[in-house]
Amino acid sequence: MISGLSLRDRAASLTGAMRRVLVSARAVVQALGAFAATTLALVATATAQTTQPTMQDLAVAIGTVDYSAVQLRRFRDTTHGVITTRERIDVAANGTAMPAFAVTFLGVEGQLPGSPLHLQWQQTYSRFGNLFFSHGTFRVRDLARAAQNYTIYDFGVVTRAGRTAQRLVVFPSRLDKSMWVVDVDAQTRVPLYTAEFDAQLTVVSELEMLTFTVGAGPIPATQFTSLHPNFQAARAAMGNPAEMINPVINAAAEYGIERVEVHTDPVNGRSKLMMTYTDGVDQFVVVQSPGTSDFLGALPGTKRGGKAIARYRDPAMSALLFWEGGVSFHVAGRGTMRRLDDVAHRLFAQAIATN
Amino acid sequence: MSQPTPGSTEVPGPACHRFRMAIGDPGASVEVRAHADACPRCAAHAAFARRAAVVLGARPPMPTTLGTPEFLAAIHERIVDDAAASPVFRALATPPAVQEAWPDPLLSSSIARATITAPASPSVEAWGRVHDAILADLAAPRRSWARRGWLASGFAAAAAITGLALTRSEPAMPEIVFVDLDRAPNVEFTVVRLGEWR
Repeated sequence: MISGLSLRDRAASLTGAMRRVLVSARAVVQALGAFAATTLALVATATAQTTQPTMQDLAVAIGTVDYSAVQLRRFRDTTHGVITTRERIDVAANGTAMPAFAVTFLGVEGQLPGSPLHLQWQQTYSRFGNLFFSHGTFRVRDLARAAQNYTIYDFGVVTRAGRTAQRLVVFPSRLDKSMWVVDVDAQTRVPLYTAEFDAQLTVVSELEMLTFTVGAGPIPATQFTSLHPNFQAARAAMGNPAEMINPVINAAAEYGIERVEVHTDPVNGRSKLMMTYTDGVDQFVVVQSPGTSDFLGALPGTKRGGKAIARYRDPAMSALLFWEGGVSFHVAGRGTMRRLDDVAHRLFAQAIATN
Repeated sequence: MSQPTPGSTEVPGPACHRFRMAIGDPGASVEVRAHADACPRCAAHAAFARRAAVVLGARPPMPTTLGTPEFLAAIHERIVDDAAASPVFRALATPPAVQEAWPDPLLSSSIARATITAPASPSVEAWGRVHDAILADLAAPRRSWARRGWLASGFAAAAAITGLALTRSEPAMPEIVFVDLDRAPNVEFTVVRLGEWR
């Protein structure tokens, strides 16, 4: 007897908990299926029969198809408001999971050009537009990891941007990640529509192509961002700041390094290292900004001289910030993945031990 | 009895010894000095001693050759030549081997890590124990068995110092706490997810 429960009671409790988890997972799949089926019924033009795209088809399309598109990107802010921006995207495949691309801001839906909101978003796109493609779009980033960590379910044929598409649900093996509904172009296997759902089946991001054209427009050279093969090369490019650390990520074992970039802020000229980790589809980032002051020193709830991690979490994102040795760190990812707490905690300990 | 002559092999007697020991001694007794009148051998010995004293008392001049720079230079050269052939000179003349790069096993050894790692400061707890032990000793009442108290405080101090030594071996990891924010931080991912940038 432990805590007043017999061994049989505890076994029964455990079995019940496992059953509830399975029922929840099944309910999620069924709900997504119902959503997909409802959409399917509304699309009268869905008559063409296509084969179900595989994860490999999606990965091959990224590496081989050049295209241009005008698309709507819907942001859901913390006040549950929705802002929809219109953008043009040009993609030139290069045989990798990260093609060359250009993102052009076209406007804010319902706002006249020149309005304050329009100008604000214009600035946001000029500064962060590339991140919308690299970190704000569904893509198979690592075929092996994606096949291991996700399962594709086929929900039939739909029409998107005037093209025949196959509706897929991409379901994660672990329930602390986003689920995706993806309409994939039947001809090219390029995603024409993606909707991201959290564990409560709430849409947290959405991207919808209005027009799709095979063949890309001109792609200007990327400014203010340089890609590097590994941490050492990126740090060397930044002048070898001694306080930066090569992150050891053990708390999220299914994630591997996707890309290592150095971003230079066009406004203040400061460089920061952004390392992106992926499980094949999902991503989280570890960002290190050397030469910064302790912005968490006066955070309420911290003891004098203590070490604190500032944490923000909502259905769309988790972000954890800390400072050590003149470097500000932040770990950020989609959804409410609580394992990022452990990632940040271990990185903080690693930074303390290094400095 | 005939007196021995100088150069004879006759063994000198005790009176001869006393006389010869007193040669040059102005305080010698009359009887001792009178021995020379009776012993021609000792008289001859005394005469020889007086002549030798004159000769030995004069410092002979140094040969001029020994003072020349050439002679001194030759001595110096011989010393250097002799030293050059010695094992010590060969060892000093050989430059030490310069290591172009430290071997990897050494760089990755615990010794290498220890040399580049600053020694950890004692933890606050360890210093606190020492502090408490000292204060406890000062505050203790003086009693007849004060000696026992000294022993106890000695043990306490030893325990505190042992704890200090033990805690020095591992750097103390400060406690890390999470503090929840009520609004999204101003980072790139906030823009990607929420479209917000302040």
